[in-house]
Amino acid sequence: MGTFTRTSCGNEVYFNCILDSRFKTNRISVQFVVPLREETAAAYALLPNILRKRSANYPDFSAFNRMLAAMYGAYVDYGVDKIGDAQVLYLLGNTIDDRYTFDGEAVTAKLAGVLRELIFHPPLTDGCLDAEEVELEKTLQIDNLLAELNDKRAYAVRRSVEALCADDPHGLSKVGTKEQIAALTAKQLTDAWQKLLSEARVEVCFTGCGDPKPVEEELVRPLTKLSREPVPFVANTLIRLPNPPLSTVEKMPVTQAKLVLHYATDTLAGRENTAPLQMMSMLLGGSPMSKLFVHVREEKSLCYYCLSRINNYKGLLTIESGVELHQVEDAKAAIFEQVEAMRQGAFTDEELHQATLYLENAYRSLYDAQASLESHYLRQVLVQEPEAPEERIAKLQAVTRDEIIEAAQKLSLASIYLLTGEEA
Amino acid sequence: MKLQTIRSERLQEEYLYGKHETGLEILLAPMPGFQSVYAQFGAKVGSIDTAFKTDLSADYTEVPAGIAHYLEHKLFESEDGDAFSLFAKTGASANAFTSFDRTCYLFSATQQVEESLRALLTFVQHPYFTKETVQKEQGIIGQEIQMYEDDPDWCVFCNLLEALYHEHPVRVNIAGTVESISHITADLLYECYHTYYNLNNMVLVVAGNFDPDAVMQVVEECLVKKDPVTVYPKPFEEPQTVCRDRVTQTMSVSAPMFALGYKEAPLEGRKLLQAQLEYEVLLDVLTGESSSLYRELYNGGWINQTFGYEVFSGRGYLSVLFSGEAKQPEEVRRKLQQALDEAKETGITQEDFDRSRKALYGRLLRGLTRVEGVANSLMSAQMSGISMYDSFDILSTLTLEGVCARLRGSFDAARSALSVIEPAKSTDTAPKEQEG
Repeated sequence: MGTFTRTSCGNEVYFNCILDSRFKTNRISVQFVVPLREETAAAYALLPNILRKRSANYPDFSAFNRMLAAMYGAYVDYGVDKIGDAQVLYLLGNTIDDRYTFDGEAVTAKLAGVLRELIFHPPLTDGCLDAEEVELEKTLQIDNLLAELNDKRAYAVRRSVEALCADDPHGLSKVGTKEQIAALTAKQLTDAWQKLLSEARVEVCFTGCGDPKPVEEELVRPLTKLSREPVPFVANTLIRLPNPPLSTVEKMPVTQAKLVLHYATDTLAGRENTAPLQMMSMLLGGSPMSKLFVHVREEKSLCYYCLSRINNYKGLLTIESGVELHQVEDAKAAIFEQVEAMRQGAFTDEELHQATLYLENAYRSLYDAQASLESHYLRQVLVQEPEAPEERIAKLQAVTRDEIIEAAQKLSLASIYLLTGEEA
Repeated sequence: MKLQTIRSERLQEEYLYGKHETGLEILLAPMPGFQSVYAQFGAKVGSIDTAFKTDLSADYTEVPAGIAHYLEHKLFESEDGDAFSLFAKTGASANAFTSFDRTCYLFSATQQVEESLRALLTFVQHPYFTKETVQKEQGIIGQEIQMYEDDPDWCVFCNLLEALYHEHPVRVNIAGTVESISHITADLLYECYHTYYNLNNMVLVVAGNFDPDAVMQVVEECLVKKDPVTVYPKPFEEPQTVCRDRVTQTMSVSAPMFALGYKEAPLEGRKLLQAQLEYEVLLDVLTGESSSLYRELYNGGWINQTFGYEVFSGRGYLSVLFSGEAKQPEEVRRKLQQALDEAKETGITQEDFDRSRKALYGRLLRGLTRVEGVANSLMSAQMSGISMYDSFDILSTLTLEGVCARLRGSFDAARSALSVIEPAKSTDTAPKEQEG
C-alpha cells in the first residue's frame, strides 16, 4: 500500500518512489527546489512554461502534443509553487500503465524519456532559447499574474500574505512581478535554465504501479552526472510579528467582502511537533463541525464560508471568510469569540475525538490518490524526514487537550486584511 | 434482493447492479486494496425542475428558481440537529451538490463505513423543515449566491446559457436569486421533496473498499418504503435558435473572458453518449493542443492556457462550449468558426481520428483510477440511463465517417452565442447589458 522510498543520489538529487499495484496510471514528476529570491523568481517561474512545450527532438509544439496524444493521452503538466521560503518549479508527466495499452507498449519508459528531453534538451538557437517563444510566454505569464485578480477569494489571501510578509521571502510573488517578467530576455532565461539545473535541489518522484527503473535511468542519472553546485537554504522560517497587528483594507467593485486574519504561531514543520496546532485548527475551523462553521456560518448566518488552515512552513494560522459587506464587523467579532473559546478550552472530549477521526479519514484517503500522496511526501521532504500518513495519524491521536489549549494560547494576531466594496 | 454483475471484458473490471423493491437503483463497485469508500445518494432533480406534476396531481406546480439547491441545504438539518453531526461520529467527510439535473449527497470514509452509510440514507430520507429553519437558510444561501456573483468564470458561463436558451430552465442560475429564494417556504420544500425524493427517482452508488453484503444489509434496514410516484416535468418549447447572439457584462477582472456556445439538438441515453464521444474526438482534433488552430491562436496571443472546450448536456439540452481569456473574443469566435467551417468541407484525417480516440480512451481510463472517479462515473451513467462501461464500448465503435457527419451537422454559426466579461474601469459597476 503506497510504499514510499527515498534515495539520496548525491549532490542534492533525490529519487522518491511510491509504488502501489492498485494504480492504473504512472506519474513521473521532477521538482526543482530553490530559495524564493527577488532576483531569480521571475526567470525561474517562466522556465516550466517554456520547457514543457517542446524539445530539440520534437521542436514542433503541435507534433509534440500529437506524440503525447498517441501515447493514450499522456500529458505533461508544469508549474510553480511557493512553499515557505522555497520556490518549487515542476514538470510532470502522467500516462496509463503499460498493461492497459492495446499492445503492451512501453509508454511509461517513453514518457520518462520525453521529460528528459524537455528538461535537458530544449530547442536552442545559437545556444539560446527561442526569443519569440520567450516573448510570447512572458506576455501570457503577465496575463496570468494579472488574472489572479479574478478569483477574489484567492486574491484576498495572496494580498494579505504579501502585506504581512513584506520583508520576508514568503511575501514575494511566486512568479515575480509584472515588471520583472517584462524585463526578461531569452539570454537571461537560458542562463536561468542552466543555473536552475546547477543550483536546485532536485526531487524526482515516481508514483504508480509500473517499473520505476526507466525513470531512474532517464531522469535521475543525467542529473547526477551534471556538475552541480546546489545552494543551501532553509525553507521554513517564522515571520516577524508586527506590533500592533497590521490592518489592510482594499476596495474594489465586489458584492461580497473577503476577510483574512493571520495569526502567528511559533510552530514550524521540521522543528516542532505540529500535531497540536493542526488539531487546534481542525477544531476551530477545519470541518463542518468546527467552531467557525457551526457558530459563525450556521448559527449566525454571517457567511457562506469561514475556515481556518495552518501554514507549517511559516508558523501561520489563517482564517478566511466571505462576508456580506455590512456584516464584516459582526463576522470579525464572531471569529474572535471562537478563537477565544479555543484558548479557554471550550471544546468537549467528543469534539476532540471527532476532529481526530476527521483527520484520520483525510490522511488514510491520501493512499488512494497518486497526486495527493506525492504531494504529502514531497512537501515534507523540504524540511524534515517524511512521515507516512499512518505515522501522522499516530501523532495526531497522541495530542492531548492541554496541548491544544496551549497551541491556541500561543496564537498572536498578526494581521487583518479586508477586501471590500467601493461604497462600503 | 439479487444483484447482477456488470462486467467489462475490455477493462477486466466489474460492478454490481440491482433495483430494489422500493424502486431505488443500487450500484456497488468493490475496489479491494483501496483505503476509502465513496458513496453517493442521488435524486433526479436539479435546478431545471422548476415546474412539475405527478400521477397524483392534476395541475402543474411552479416552484421558485433555486429550490432544488435550497432543498439540498435544508435536508442536512433534522429535528435532532445537523446531519454533519452524524458523520462526525464516524470521521467521514460528507457533502452534497446540486447541478442542473441532479442532487447528490455523498460521503467519503475510511472506517465505520456502514455507520456512515446509515447516516447518509437516514438524513436524506427524513426531511425536517420549519418556518424558522427555512428562513435562517436564506442568509447563508444569499451569501453563496453573492459569492458566485463575484466569480467571473461562473458569470460568463451563466450568461452564455441565458443567451443560448429561450425557455429551457437551464438558463436560470442553479442557486436561483436572492429574490427567488425569498419565496421558498417549508410547504414548498416538502412538496418538492415528496415529489422528487421518491426512491423510484433515486440512485445509490458505493465504490471502494467495502463488503457488499454488509452494505446491502444497511440498505435493507434503512430504506423507507413509499408508494412510487411518477414525475412529469412541465414541457416547454425550446426553439432551435439562440436567444441572443452576444451578451456582455463588466466585472472586476484583469482581461476579457469569453464563453462561446453552439446550441445542438438535445439527445438522450446511448445516442447522447455517442454524440458526446464524437464531439470529444472532434474538438481534440480541431481545437486541442495538437491542432494547428490551437497553435495559431496560442502563438498569435489570441488565447492562453485557460482556453478549453466542453460538451455540456443534460435533460433537454446539448451544447458545445469554448471558453477562456482573450483580449479580442470576437476575433477568437471568428477564427474558430472559420476553422470549423473549413473542417466541415475537408473532414478530418484517419490518422488524427485514431490518435484522438486513443487519447480519449486513456482519459476515460484515468477517470477510473480513483474511488471517487468510479463513484462519479457510475452515478453519471445511471442518471443518464446508460452503464459506466458503455463509454468504452461506444468509443471502440466510433468511425471516421460518423465523426465527420457529426461535424457537418453541428457548429452552425447562426445557432451560436458569445458571452463576454469585460474588465470594469476603476469604479465602473455597471450591471449586465444584453445585446442582440
